[in-house]
Amino acid sequence: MIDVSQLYKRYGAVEALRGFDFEARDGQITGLLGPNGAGKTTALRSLCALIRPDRGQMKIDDIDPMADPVAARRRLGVVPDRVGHYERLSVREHLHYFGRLHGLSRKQRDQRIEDLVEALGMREIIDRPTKGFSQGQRVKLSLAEAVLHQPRNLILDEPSVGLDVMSTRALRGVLRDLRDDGHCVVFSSHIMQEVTALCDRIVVMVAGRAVAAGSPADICRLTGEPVLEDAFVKLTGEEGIAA
Amino acid sequence: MISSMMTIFHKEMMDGLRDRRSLLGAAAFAVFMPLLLAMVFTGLASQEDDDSLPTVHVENPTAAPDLLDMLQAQGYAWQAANGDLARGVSEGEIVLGLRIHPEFGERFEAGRPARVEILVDESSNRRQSRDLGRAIQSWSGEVAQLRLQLRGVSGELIRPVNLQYRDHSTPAQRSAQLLGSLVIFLLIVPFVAGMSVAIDSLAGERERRSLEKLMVQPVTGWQIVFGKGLATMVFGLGGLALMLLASGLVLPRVDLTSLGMSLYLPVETLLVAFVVVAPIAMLAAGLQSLVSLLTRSFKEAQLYMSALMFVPMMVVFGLEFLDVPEGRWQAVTPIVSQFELLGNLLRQELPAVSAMLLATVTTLLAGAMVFWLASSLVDRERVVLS
Repeated sequence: MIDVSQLYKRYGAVEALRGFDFEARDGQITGLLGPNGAGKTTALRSLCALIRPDRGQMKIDDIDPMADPVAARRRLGVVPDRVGHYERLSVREHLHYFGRLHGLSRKQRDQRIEDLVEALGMREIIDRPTKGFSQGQRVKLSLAEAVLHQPRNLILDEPSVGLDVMSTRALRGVLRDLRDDGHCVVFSSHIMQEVTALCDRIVVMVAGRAVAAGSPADICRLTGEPVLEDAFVKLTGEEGIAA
Repeated sequence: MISSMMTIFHKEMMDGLRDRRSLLGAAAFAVFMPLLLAMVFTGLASQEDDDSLPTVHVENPTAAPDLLDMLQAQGYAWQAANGDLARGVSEGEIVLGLRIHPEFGERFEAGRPARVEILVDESSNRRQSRDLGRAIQSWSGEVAQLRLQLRGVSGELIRPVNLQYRDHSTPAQRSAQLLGSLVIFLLIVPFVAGMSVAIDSLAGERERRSLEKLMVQPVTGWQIVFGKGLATMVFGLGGLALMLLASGLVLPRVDLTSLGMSLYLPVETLLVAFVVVAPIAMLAAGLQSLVSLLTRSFKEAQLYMSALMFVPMMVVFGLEFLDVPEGRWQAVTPIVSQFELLGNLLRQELPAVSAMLLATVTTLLAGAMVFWLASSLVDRERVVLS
């Protein structure tokens, strides 16, 4: 479970977060939807204790990531925005590396890697160095790294950018399975259709603040628009969201 | 805590060892430098070997037959100069020219100073000109003694001092002088060999956006910096070991008998040299981690790292040329203390254990401080996310 209230963060003259409130429950996929520059990445990086907010509270399963970043990160699986890999290491070596950092034993790692090869269809690339991987292969690896230690909470920052149809379907399948197992999944995107296809709950973020939260039906009701797309346009104003 | 650091170290070692190109570069420096020295020494020895005397081109030889007889007796061949002697010398066709003044014979007979000039290009034939000058001087001294004796005065009167040279330098000391250049390379090699790992594991990872992913794992900044720094250090130590091995194998084989010495690098010397220089690998790794974190890109890191390599070189040259007075600070200053210890070692004087300990402890402390500084930087968002 992730709980954030009244988060503020300023970079020089830019106010990236202006009293951001956010909640993501276990057993749900929560979508963080907002235009580019709304502060989604800043909010997610704060949760991982990569950046220090100026003020506000955060809780990941009752742990404050600012007070104990290592304990908070143990409960997190993260797919950062535009992430890179080690070109000279194979997929299997990547997964052993991150598994060891999370304290998994050799046996546990072997078992989990086998499960993920199956779930994500990575049989062909598992022992290949990652140099020259396609975008879809990269995202699969990032996702495998993030879920290897079966974290209670999974954070994905724009994971489906540049993915082909098959990879998108595999990604969605894994996220739904995690939700059904009771994990808390947070998914940021600026693409409306992706969020509506996958998320149980949506938080709409504009200019550093959450402007609406709830199920797609809730959001329609809130804005008085019968169609979700119109509701988004109304909420985000001129800044717009990619349809 | 330690296990996360070791996991990161293990991964960096694997990654670094697969980076064939930078691995080859580091190994090439470690092996090539002793080979280069061997080539230079061989050249020096063969130059000294070449003790055949050059032919003296003499202008106006008939004026001084005694002088030329003496030169011939000393082993010089001579021939009468034809054409412009000065031009022949400056164009490099003639090594030694001897211009005998037309009035030489006359003045010599009269017991007055008779003029001869040695024409030489001192920039390339200094030794030959000094040798010829000395031969003529000593002959001149003998003639003076004879003249005095003929007049009933003891020749010893004009020889108030009997000067003799005795060289007490041992072959080990002379060889240490030659090996001084090896000291510089030994102090630099940890910087060279660790460089690519230091750049790749921090600046490179940030540029390829894999550092951020590592930062969201349950690890602290110091575990990341120490784990990666340890890999840099191991590569630095590997380079050092390789250079010592190459030196020990190659340099003693260079034939320096013509210089009256042999390069002596027994296994014990090499092992002690490794122990003496090893702490520099930690300092180098710390400095390189710091630079790698502070620079904005891979390219910028490369630039500053190369500059960093000149630090030990500047220290050594500064000590050699500025004639710094001996003081206590040398024994506790990293790189300077190792420079002094290596100097002793190559003169076959085993440095005192206390001096080695002092140098090691101060260098390790300096290294630890730099590492601490680097790991405090990692937690700053500007450093990781830029």
